[in-house]
Amino acid sequence: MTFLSPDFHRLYLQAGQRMAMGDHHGAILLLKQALALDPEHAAAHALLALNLLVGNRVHAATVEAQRAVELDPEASLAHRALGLAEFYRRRWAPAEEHLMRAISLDPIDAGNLCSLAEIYVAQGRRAEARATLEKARNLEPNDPDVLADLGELDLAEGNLADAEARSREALEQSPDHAAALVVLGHVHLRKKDSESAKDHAAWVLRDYPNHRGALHLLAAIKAHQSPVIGVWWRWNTWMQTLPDARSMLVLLGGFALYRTVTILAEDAAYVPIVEYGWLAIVAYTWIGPMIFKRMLTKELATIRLRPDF
Amino acid sequence: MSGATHDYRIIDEPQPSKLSHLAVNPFWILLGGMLGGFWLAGPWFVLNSIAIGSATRRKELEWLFYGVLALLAGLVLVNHLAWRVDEQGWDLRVVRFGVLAVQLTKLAIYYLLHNQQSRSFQLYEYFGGLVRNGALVAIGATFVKGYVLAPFAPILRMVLS
Repeated sequence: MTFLSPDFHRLYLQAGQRMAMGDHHGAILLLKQALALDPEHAAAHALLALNLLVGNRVHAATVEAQRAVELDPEASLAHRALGLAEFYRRRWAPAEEHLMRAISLDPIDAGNLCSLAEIYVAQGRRAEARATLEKARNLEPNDPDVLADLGELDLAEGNLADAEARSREALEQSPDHAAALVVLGHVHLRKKDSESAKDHAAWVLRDYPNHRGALHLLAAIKAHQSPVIGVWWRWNTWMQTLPDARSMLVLLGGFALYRTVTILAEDAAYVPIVEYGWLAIVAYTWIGPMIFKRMLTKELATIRLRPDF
Repeated sequence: MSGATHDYRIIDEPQPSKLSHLAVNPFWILLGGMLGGFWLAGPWFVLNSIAIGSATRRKELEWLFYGVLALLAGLVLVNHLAWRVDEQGWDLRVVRFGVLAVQLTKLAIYYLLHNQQSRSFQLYEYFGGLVRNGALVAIGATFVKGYVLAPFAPILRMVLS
């Protein structure tokens, strides 16, 4: 067994605490220091991979997770990290395979089941996701993460009452649970109560200023309030769900269609209309993000000025 | 604090370069490609990749290489179509579709390189790297491209523009 220095232990534990607090950047810096002391520590590589994934540094996370699996093929955390890294790369089969392996190595860790459910949701396999989350719930009936994930699934299926009930259950266990607050915020937004939704986003941002889910909720609120700019936001959100190559095909397909029409019908009376329409789309997609960003920044500034922030 | 902070390097972290002072947001290169042309965007993507110490430089260079090959294939295609129009009386619009294919190839190269380089650029910026504003070069390219491309044959001009 390798001897681990007290410094390594301290850094590793602090990194875990930072991660739990949502300070992923802090956790990464500590793990880098820890790995400088012991580059062969599988769990540190796996933890680093999980933190990198939060910042969408997928390539680096994959490398770290692969290293973790290489160093300790029997470590559940390493397989979970690699499974999630593959998930971020939209490689469903290996993602599922590694998470199944993680579950078989540590069958009582509800977190592994939640991660597997996330993969099912992304593939639209909602029944399997629900069954997996129910298994997690049987293991940890009061785990707020599991309850919030169930709430998120209910929200995706349009069951607002269930989503609200699950997120409230999660908040009973952990009153500041970020994911549960975000789900509840979305429930309020769907019920057209933008102010309550905004309060929930602000609540999360007070503790985690860069929480992706809360920022997404805030953006959804702004998009809801301004339908013209909201169209751009919905379009952009949809484009971001596509892999690079596919989003490129959508954009190039639009341009090719426009040019095909103008080439085939160069003398037709409607061609100038098509050209002006294309120009309007270009201008809108150029200006839209700038206006939206300004609106969101203003909203964030307002939230940060609130006395309870 | 441990003195070993910099000993462990995460693979996507940008490496410092002597050209860091020339780094720009890849968005300006994309725009430079659209307004100026491939003559500007191609070399600029390479320069920027070195400047920001992009961890994916090899991949970016590979894409650029394949992109140039695709553009040369487009050049041959358009040349061939133009010959068909001249010699066999094909509809002129066929050439315009050939040109469209070349345009789409260039846009695809810009888009892929921009997306790839943006990830490294965000990290470069995050770690406090110096960033220049590339707007002037991108917009200025619109005005100078005529002079830059003038010495080239029309068919080559189409690829470089």
